[in-house]
Amino acid sequence: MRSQSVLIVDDDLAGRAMLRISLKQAGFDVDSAGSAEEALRRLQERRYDWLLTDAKMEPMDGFELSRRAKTLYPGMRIIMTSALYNDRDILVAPIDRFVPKPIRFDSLLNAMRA
Amino acid sequence: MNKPHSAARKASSVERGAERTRSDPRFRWAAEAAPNALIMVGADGKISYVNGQAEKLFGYSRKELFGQTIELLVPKRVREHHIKYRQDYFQQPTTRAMGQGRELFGVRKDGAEIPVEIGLNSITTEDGTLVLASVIDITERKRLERKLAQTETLAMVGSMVAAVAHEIRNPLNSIVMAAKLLGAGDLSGEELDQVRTALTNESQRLNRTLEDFLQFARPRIPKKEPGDLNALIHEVLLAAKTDTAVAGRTVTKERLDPRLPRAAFDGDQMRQVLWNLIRNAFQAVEGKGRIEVRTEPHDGGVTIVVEDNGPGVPDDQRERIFAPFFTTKAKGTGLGLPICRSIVTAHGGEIRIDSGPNRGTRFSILLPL
Repeated sequence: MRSQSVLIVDDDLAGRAMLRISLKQAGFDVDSAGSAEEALRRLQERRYDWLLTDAKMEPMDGFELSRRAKTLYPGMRIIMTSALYNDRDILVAPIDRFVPKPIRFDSLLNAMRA
Repeated sequence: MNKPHSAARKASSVERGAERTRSDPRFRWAAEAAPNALIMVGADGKISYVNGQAEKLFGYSRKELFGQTIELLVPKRVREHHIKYRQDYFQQPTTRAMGQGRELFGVRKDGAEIPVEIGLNSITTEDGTLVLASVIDITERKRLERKLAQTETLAMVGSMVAAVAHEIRNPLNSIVMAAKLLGAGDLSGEELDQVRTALTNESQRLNRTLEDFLQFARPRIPKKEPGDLNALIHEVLLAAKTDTAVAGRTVTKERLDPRLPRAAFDGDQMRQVLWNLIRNAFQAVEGKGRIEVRTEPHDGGVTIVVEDNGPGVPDDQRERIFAPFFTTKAKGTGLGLPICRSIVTAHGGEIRIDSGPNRGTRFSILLPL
C-alpha cells in the first residue's frame, strides 16, 4: 500500500521539524513548508493526501491557505493546528479537523487513520 | 446676606459694574440659555450672578448665592488654596481652563462633591474686572472614563492571555513531541540532532518568554556603571547578523562615533534593548534590506539610532507599538518594545520612533550621561 502523503506548513521551525520526524516515523510521506506561500508553490507541483497547517502565520495565514488549497484540490483533507484559536474562526474554516497545540500525536494519528 | 437696598448703598464700583452687566437683558438671555452653569465673581470673590443651570447644579437658589464668596462651592480641603488662586488670577485675568490638569470638584448644598470642568473668562467693565466661570458637570464623563479604563484593562488581560498561550504552547508543543520521539528509538543521527536541538532551544525560548513577562510585570532597577556603548552595540549587531534565521542578505552599517562619552548604563538591560531593536529591524527588512546603527554625542548625553528601510509602521500604529501585548507579528509576546521603553525610561532617557508607510523606521534612544 502506498504511504499517505502529507504537507506540513508551520512557520515555527522546531514545531515543523518535530512533526516532520514524527509523521515520517509513523510511515507518512512527508514534505514541509515554512510559510503559506511556500506551501502553495509546493501544491502547484503536486497533490498531497493531507495538508497539516498552522493557523497563525504571516503574511498569509492558515485559513487563507486552506481556502486556496481546497480550490486547487477539493478532495484534499486539511487539518489545522494552532496554539491559539477562536472557535468561530475554526467553525467556518474550510478544514476537516482542528488539532490544538500542544499536539497529542496519538490523537492526530487516529484522526489521520480514521 | 445683604438686603438689596443696603447692598446698593454699600456697592463698590465693581459691584455696580456687575449689576450693569447682568441687568443687560441680552446678557441675561444669553446666560440663561447657556447649557453650562455660569457664575460671576468679583475680585473680592463674592458671587454677583448665577444662571439657572448653576442653581440646578449646586442646589442653591440665586438668593442664597448672591453675596457669598465663591469658596462656598469649593470643597473645604481646597478652600484656602482656592482663595490664593483666585487672588492670583485677578492679578492677570485671562480666558483659560481652570486647574491646569488637576481634577476639580464642586460641592453642592447637600455636601455632595461633583467632578467639574471650569472655564474662566474675565470681563473688564469700566468699574473693574469680573470673572465669569463656566462650570460643566463631568460626572457622566468620569463614569464613562472609568468604564473605558476597565474595558481597556480587560482587553489587555485578554491580549496577555492570548500572548501567553501562544508563546508557551508553541515551544511546549515541540518539547512534548521531541520527548516522545526520544523514546521511539529508531531515529537517524540527523533526526536525533534535530530533536536534541529542539529540546534545548525551545526550553530556552520558554524561559526567555517567562523572563519577558516577569521583567514587564516587575521591572528591575538598573545597575548603572560607566561603560562603552559602542562596544556593546557592535557586539549585539554581530550576534544578530550571525542569526541566519533572520539575517538573510541584510546589509548592515555601523557608524559608531569614537568620541562618544562613557555613559552609565546597566549592561544586561541595554543589551536587551539593543537586541530587541536590532532584531526588530532585521525582521522588518525580511532579509533583504538595509540597517544602520549609529551613535552620536548630544548635549549632556548620547544618542543611539537604529534605522531600517523596511515597510515602516502605519500612522495609526506608531504609538500603539509601545503598548504591552500589541504586536504586528504573527509570533511574539508584544512585550519587546514596552520593555525597551521601560528600561530606557528607568535610565532617565527616552526612546522615540520616527516611521511611516514605505519610509522605513528609525528608533532613537537618548540617554543621559
